Amino acid sequence: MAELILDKVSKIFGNNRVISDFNLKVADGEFVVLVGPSGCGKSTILRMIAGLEPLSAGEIYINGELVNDVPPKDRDIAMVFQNYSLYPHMTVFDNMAFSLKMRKINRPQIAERVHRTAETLGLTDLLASPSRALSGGQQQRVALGRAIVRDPQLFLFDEPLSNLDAGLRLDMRAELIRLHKSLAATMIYVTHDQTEAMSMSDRLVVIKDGLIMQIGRPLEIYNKPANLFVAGFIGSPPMNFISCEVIRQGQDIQLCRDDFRLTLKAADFPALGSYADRNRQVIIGLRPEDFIVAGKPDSEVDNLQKIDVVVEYTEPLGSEILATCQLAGLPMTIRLAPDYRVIPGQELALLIKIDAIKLFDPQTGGAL
Amino acid sequence: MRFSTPGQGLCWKYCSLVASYVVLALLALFYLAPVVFMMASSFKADHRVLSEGSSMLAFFPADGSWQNYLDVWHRVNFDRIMFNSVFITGCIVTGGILINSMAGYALARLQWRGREVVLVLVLALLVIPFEAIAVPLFYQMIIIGWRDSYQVQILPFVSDAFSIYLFYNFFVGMPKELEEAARIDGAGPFRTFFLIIIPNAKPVFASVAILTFLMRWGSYLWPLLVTTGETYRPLPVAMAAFENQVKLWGDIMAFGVMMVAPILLFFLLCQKWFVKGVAATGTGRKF
Repeated sequence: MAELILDKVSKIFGNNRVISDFNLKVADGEFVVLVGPSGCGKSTILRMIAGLEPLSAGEIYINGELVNDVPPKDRDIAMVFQNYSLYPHMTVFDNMAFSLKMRKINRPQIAERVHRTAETLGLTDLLASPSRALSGGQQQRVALGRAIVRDPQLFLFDEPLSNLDAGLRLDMRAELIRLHKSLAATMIYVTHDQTEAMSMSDRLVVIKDGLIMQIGRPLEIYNKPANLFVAGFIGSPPMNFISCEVIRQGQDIQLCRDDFRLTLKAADFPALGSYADRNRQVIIGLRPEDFIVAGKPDSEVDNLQKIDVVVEYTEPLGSEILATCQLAGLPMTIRLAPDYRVIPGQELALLIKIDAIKLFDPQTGGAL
Repeated sequence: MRFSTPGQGLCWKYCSLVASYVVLALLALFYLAPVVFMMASSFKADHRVLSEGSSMLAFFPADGSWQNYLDVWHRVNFDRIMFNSVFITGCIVTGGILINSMAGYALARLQWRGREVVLVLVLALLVIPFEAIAVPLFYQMIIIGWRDSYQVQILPFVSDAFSIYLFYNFFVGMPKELEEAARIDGAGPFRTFFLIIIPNAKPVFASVAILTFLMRWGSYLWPLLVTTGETYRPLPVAMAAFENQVKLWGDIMAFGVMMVAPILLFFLLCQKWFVKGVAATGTGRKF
């Protein structure tokens, strides 16, 4: 187990600055997920922690020790790669034993540790199999085993589940959560899959273009996104955005776009006053679950506002129905109960949960 | 628009198949004919080689006598010449795959100043024919005093631009994560190369070994320049000298078979690797 600190870490490739002043502190035993779109620099950060990529600026500390110039083998880390990177010419046993052999651990101890790890991961029957003969899921387990067997201070995962099919991914996700609980190890996990990120992490780090957009607990980020990017990136289906005029009407503030009107109490949204005074626009963010069909039992809750939409198409997913509707000329995705009968072209009266709406500045993208 | 019936399609398929086989068989005959002629003639008396040369009998070993082979064995120090060829070729192949693979790996994978320049130089060397540098190299060897030796036939050929290029090409395509995993596991560059890279690069090693063997086994110009007697002479030069001495076609053909047999055997044994290697390196270059 280890504490990890990244202090003003930057990475420049040629003239391209991919990471800028990246600061992160990971506590002992914490599971932190770095999430962001492809090319945002999250894998580069992981590779710098591993020592596979030199830093252009900044410092990395593992357990208080500056490791900028420490080679990967001496950082006491283990890394699981996206494509597993098992040694194809070796058996499962040899793959798992390789790092221990490199550390000149004696044979009986190697065998004992490999067998113990294999048992934990259900790999005992595969120990003699050549690694190239394994399925994707089995290879991923071996890759995990290869990391665990070393008993490292820090685990690094570089999109380890992205090559697996949906079912296996779910299983492995559960396996990793279990593993983190049982090992109580510090883990840094990189993914572009926000569902994976939300479900596994103690803390999420949302990254865009090498910059941290927000750090926080998954639900905190989901419910209080710091900016438009985080709001749009975290959540599936993504948040709906409506750009609106802000008009003051006595004690109220009205957000308008075409025939869409949303009336808010100015006292509840003090930040909107200056937007109304300066005639500036705001962006409303509404998650698909922030809508309730009028007349349903949920609609009895307080602080709702009614709007009318036309359903364009629906996606029944079994556990829910996703309906895409037109609102003020924009497509909106709303989440409906699985038993709700709705057909394309149907008019729907929806209630918006006023307490759930998020407001963003269109220029800075920041949350209000 | 006209459509062919299923019957017509099938007929066309068979006809094209037969035509392909005929063309391939003719090509095979074309390439095999000299080898069969050489083998058949090696079992014939000298006068029959010449008299039957213009008929189909040229391809049939009428006598079935091993006399020509015994003659060659008695006339030249064949085991010494064979040893020279095996030793020289063996050293070049062994040293070559080691040196060139390491050079290819360093160019493909390691980060060092001047890597791009060296790579361009290696690629530039590919287009320079050996004949162009044979004379200055020969002069250099005379100065060093290496004429009539093994090292003069081995050392200039251990490092080879084409072999480096083949290795480079293969290593560039290998997943980088394999080495990175080894680095994290605690292996240094040499251990990574010998324990991880080489076992996963068998096809290119086989390919380079076979290509180098073929090229060096038949090498003629350089050994002719640098050897004066039988002591260090390899097979091709010895055969040319033998031809000048004896002028007996049956014996010359027997010598030819004795020279070609190991290479044929080697190819037949390594055919699988050869095909794999050529496919793996993505090249069809002939020597």
